[in-house]
Amino acid sequence: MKNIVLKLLLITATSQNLISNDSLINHIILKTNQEFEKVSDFQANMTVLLSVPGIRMPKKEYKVFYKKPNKFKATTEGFGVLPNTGLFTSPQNNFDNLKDLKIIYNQSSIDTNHIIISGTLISDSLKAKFPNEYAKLSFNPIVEVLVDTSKWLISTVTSKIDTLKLFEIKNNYKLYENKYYLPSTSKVEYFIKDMKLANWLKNDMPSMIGAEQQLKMNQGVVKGVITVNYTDYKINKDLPDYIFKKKID
Amino acid sequence: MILILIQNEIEKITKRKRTYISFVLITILIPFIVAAINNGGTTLEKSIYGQLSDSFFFTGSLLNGYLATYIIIAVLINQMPFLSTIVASDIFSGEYSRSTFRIYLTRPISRSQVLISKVFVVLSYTSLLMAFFFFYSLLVSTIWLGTGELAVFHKGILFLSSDVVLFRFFIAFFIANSVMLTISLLCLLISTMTKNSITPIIITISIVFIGTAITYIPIELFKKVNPFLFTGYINSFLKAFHDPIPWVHIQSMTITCLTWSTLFIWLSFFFFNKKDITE
Amino acid sequence: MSLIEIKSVNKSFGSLEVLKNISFNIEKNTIVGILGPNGSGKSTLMRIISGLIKTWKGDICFYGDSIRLNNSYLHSTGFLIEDPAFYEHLTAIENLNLLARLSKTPAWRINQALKRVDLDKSLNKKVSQFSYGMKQRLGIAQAILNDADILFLDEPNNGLDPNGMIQMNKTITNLNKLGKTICISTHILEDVKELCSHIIILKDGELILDNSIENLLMNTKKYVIKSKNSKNVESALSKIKNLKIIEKTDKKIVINSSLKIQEIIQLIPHDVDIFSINKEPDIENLFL
Repeated sequence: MKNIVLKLLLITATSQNLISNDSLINHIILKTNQEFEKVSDFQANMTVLLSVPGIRMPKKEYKVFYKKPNKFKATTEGFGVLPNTGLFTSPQNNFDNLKDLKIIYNQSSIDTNHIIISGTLISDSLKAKFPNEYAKLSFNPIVEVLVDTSKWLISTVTSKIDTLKLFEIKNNYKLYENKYYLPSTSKVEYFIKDMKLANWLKNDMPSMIGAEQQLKMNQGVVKGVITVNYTDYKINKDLPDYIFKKKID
Repeated sequence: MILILIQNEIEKITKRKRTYISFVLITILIPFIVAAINNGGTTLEKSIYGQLSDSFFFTGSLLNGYLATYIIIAVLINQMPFLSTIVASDIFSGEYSRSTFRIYLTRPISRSQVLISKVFVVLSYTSLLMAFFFFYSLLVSTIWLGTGELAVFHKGILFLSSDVVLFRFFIAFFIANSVMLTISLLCLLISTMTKNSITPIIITISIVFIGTAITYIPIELFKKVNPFLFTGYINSFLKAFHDPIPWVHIQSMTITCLTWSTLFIWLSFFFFNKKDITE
Repeated sequence: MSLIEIKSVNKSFGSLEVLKNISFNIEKNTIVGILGPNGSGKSTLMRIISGLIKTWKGDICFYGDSIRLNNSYLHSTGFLIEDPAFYEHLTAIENLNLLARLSKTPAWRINQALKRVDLDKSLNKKVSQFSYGMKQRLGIAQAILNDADILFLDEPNNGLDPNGMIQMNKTITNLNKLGKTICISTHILEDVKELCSHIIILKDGELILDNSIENLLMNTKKYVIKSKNSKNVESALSKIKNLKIIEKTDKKIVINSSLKIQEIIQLIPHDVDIFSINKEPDIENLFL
C-alpha cells in the first residue's frame, strides 16, 4: 500500500518536472535510516580488492566489526588498506553532508522501485584540503543517491561536478537471518585526474629504489575501483565496546 | 683432473683470510642496518604511503623483514661488485705476482683446465657471496621484524602478499647474481692480463661505473646501447618485485649476461693460453 | 736417442732476441751445466722447456716426441725455475700436496722428498715462515716429487750460504747417482766445474760452447796445482818457458801451458811439495 502511494506521489512529481519535496525526501531518509538502524551491530568477513591507480594490492581479507552509531573496526593479518569513504556510513550521515536536496526521477534510466535524491555536497564536511577559501567555495559537487524504495536501501551514491563523475559507490544487498539487509558487495569507483594521483607519490623513497617506476602521468581522467565483498555476517550479537578501542588493528 | 684442479683452487682460496672479508663485513653490517630501519620505521612508512592518508586508512604495519631486506639489497647492491671481485682479481694476477705459476704450470696439466678450475671457483665464490648477502639479510630481517606484505614502487605503490614475496626474492637473487657473475668474470679476464691484484678491481669497477652512468644518462644513443650492456641490469633485480613479472626483460638480461660472460671466458682462455709466464 | 733434443730454438721479447737458434742435446744420466752471464737466455730456455713460455720458434723433443704436441713429458720432468715460489699461506706439506695431486703422486713420495731435502721436521710450518735456504730446499723437494727422469734446476745455489751450497751440490750429485739426469743453469763457474759432465755456454742468446767436460779436459791448457805453499811452486814455475801463471792463492796456482801434465811435474823440483796437479777445462775465456 505504501508503495502505491509513493508511486503516485512520484508520478505527480514527474508531471511537475523536478520538484523538490521536503516531506517526501525526509520520508525516504527516515525509511532508509530505519532499515539501517535495524542492525545494532555486526561482524563479518570482508574481502577487499584494490585497483586504484597508484596503489595495487592483492585481495585482502579482513574481519570487520560495526556497532551503532559509528563504531567501526577492521582487523587483518599484516598490512591492510581501506578507503576512508564508502564503508559503513549511515543513510542519515550520507544525507547530512548534503544540502538543497531534491528528487530526480527519470523513468527512462531507472526502474520504478528506485528514486534519486540529489543534493550539493557541503564542502565543510569533506576531509579534503583546499588550496584556498575560493577553491573551497567554488568546489560544489552534486551527490546523487539512488534509493531502492522496495527495501529502503541505498543502492548507489554518485558524486559529480556537472557531468564529470568524482566517485560512485554501488552496493548490492542480501537478506540475512531473514530480517536484515546488509551489503554483500560494495564497489567504490574513483574518477580523478591522473596528475592529482601522482601527487600522492611525491616524497617517495630515495630515487634509487624504483626510480623508473614512477607513475606515468597523463592529463586524462582515470578510474580506481575498490571492490568489497562481505560474508559470514553475525548480526546483533551485542558486541562489547572494548573491541572498538582501537579503530584499526 | 678438473676436479683435482678445482680442489686445489678451493684449498688455495679457503686458506686465505682475504676470502672471508666480504662475509665478515656483511655479517656485521646487516644487523646494524636492520636496527636502523626498525628505529626509523614510522618515518619510512609515512614516506611510502603518507600522502594517501587523506583517502585511505591503513591497518597493521608495512615495516617487516621483507621490506627491510628489500631496502638493504637496493641500497647495497651497487657496492657488491667491490666485494665479489676480491677473489677474481687475485686468482691470476696473484699467481703472477707471487710467481707460483712456476711450480704450478710446470706440472702435466693444461692451461685450459687450470683456467676452467679458476672460473669455476670464481663463479662459486660470487654466487655464494650473493646468496649469503640475500638470504642472510632475509634471515636477520625476518627474525627481527617478522614477515608480511612487501610494499614496492612499481607504477605507484604495489603491495605483494607475503605468500609470493619469497619467490620474488629468489627471482631477484637470480637476476642480481647473473649480473654479478658477469662482473666477476670481467675481473677474472683482467686478472689474466695483469700482474697485481688491484688493477683488475679498479678497471672492473670503472667499467661498471661507466656502464651505470650510461644507464642513467638520458641520451638517445645510450638508451639504444644500454640493453646490450650487462651493466644496464645491475638494478634489474627490482623488477622481480613488479607485477606482472617482466619475464621478457629477465630473459633479455639472462641472454646479455650469458653473452658477455662467454666472451670474457673465451678472451681469458685466449690470453692465458698464449701468455708467456716470465714472472 | 737423446733424452732432450733442442732444435733451433728462437725466442724474442719484442725486438729483443733472447735466444738465437739454440740447438743441443741432453743425454741420459748426465749433469749438464748451462752457463752464461745474466741475460744470456738460460732461464728463458728452461721456461720454454717447462711450458711456461708458449711463443717460441723451433722444436724441443723429449725421447723423440715434440713437446709441442702435448705436455705429458712433464710427468717425467721436474723444474726449479729461479727463486722458489710457493703459496706462502700454506704449509710445506700443503704446497706439496697441491702439486702431488696434479701428477697423481702418492703421499709417501711427499714425505720422502721432504726427508731428502731435510725438511721433514718443518712440514707443518707455513712457507711464509721459511728462510730462503729452506725455500730453496723445498723447491728441490717439489722438483723431485714425481720421481722425474730429468730435473731442470735454475740457479739452485742462488742465495745460499757456503754450507747450503755444499749441501745442494751433494743433493744434486746423489740424485744423479740415482739415475736422474740433471740440467743446471748457473753463472757460477765453480758449480759447473765441480758438478757437471757436460757444459753448454750461452752468451747474448747464442750458443758458444756445447761440449763434455771430458773433451774440454782433453783439450785444455789449464792446470790447477795445489800445494802446501804456493810461493815455492810459483818460483819454480816462473823459470819454465811455455807456462803462464794466471791465478794464485796461498794453496793454489792456476797455470796455462801447452805442456803435458807429466812434463810439468818433471819440471817442478822434488823438494817443492805439491798435493795435486789437475787439468781444468778452460771455459772462463768463453764465458767472459
